[in-house]
Amino acid sequence: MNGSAAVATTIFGLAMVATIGIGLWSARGRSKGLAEWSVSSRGLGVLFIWLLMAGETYTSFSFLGTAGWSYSFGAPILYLVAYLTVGFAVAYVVGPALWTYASRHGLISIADIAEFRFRSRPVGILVAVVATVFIVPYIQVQIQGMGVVVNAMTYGSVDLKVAAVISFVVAEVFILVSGLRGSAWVSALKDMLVIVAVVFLAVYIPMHYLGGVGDLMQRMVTERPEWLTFPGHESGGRNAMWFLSTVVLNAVTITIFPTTVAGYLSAKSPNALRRNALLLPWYQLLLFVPMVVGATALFVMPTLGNPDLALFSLVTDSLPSPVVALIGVAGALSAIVPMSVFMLSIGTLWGRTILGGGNGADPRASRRTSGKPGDADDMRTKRLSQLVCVVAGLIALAGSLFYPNTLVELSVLSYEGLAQLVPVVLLALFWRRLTARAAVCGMLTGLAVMTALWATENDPYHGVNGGVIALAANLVVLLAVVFLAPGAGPALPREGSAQAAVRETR
Amino acid sequence: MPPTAEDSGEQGPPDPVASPLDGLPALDGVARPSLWLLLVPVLLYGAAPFVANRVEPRILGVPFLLAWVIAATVISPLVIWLAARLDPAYRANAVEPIPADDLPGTDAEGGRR
Repeated sequence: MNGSAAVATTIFGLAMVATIGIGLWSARGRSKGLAEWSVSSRGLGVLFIWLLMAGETYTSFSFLGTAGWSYSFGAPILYLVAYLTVGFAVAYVVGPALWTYASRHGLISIADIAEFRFRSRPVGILVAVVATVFIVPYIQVQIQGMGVVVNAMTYGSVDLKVAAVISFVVAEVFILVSGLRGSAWVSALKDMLVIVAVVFLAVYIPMHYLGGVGDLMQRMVTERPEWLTFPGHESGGRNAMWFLSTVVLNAVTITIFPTTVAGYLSAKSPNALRRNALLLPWYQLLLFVPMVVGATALFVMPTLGNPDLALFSLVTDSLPSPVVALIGVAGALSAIVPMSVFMLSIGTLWGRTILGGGNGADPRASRRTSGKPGDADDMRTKRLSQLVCVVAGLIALAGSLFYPNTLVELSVLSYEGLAQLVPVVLLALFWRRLTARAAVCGMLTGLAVMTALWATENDPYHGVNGGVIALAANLVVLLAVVFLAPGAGPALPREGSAQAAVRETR
Repeated sequence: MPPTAEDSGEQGPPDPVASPLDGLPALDGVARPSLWLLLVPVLLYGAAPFVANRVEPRILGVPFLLAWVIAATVISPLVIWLAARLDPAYRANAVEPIPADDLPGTDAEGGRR
């Protein structure tokens, strides 16, 4: 290990210790119940919601994939900024809506919401399982992203697999103890580093290698014009239709991502969420920076083997090791924060809905969760959630160590798959006539169509994102079932008890 | 900071989780036309590859498509801000209306309205 590597490794180690410290410290004096762990007792104000949700949107993909896409494809990467911003416009309504429903009925996850809305534990379980299938790969992507970042920032002296294990341990330690509040506090550290690092890079990298951003633009126009318009450079059909359909699909889907919903539900008031919808889009301006850096790499290192390393290759090439280390820590935390929230949401999905006996809304289910935060029942559910949180992390870690490519391929489908949950989780709150049978039939159809398109390599289909086609099929089936054979009438009781409405069917 | 109105209804039985809904007003069917403004971001971005898919003219040296998307990213939060300013729910810090809860008997599970 040479001097630079030693310095970078030391700074990285200190940063990880600090991360665990902040994460653990945030839990002091808080309730020990499930609601504190999973949704911070619904007590976060505007600032922490902002930090947490900014932390979730700026992931390791922002450092690796954004620069990488910019380097290899060009214009199509603009979809990232577009769907995140449009997503906040959608979130202006969806965030407070999910918050209101969940707070009113004491719910903690999308599966919990679906179970309560349809008075059906099987529906809740189905939502939890589908959501898990599509977010475990995401955890693995973050673990591997962390490996790449740490390996690059320490000049190769920390092995990819060692870095993967470190990221898993750090994230698990603070998420198990402090829950979502831990992630929010670590996010504070992360967001500060990201903002400083990214603003610095925006100025420094083009200045160092070229004559500044103006010169970079001039050279892009004269030498690489193909990168500057759709469909970009050899982007595999990522044309205007792809852009439009992906932006719409992802913008709606991100509002029901289990991690996003964890953020919503932890808010103190609906206006904390509404205010975030108008503050967070500003943060997306930072995403243009890795794009600029990726474009710069086109001229400096035109033959990179792995485009995802575009940003870190320039950083390690041009900056002294302490600065490299700080940027690397920002990148590493950008993996750890989302990873921790993903693991927490899986724990929450399973802990109550699948393993904990449900929320009691289903009259056919035997057990009813009630009582106060911190009582024996609540603690049991919390421990189950924590257990699943560890297991989900371990599966993703094992995947990243032994099958680094299998699950990552699945993560490409995450948005398309979770989009199929939009009707059952979200439309259900706005449309009273939607029945459990219709929602489930629609969801299964959507998942089948999506999988078929993907397996037959028809995604995108003539440019249209396969998830949009699947969601359209989902909605057609859903409408048909509602109007032709709705099954259990509006899942909510018309008069009297919940039992009456549900007993009418099956 | 919008004022919080008085409690909107009677207390339900205690929730397993302390309810943060206390003291938040409901909208009771007030129209919210400003929410249509939330379509502006998707129109701005969605139009980009169709009407702005070119390099020239450059805006301050930035190729047109990129300049368009940057402009959309600056305009969108302003439009969302405007939508919020004109939204009665934002001004009152009201809970979001949930049609699924607008049925008699919804309180059966101990939720509060």
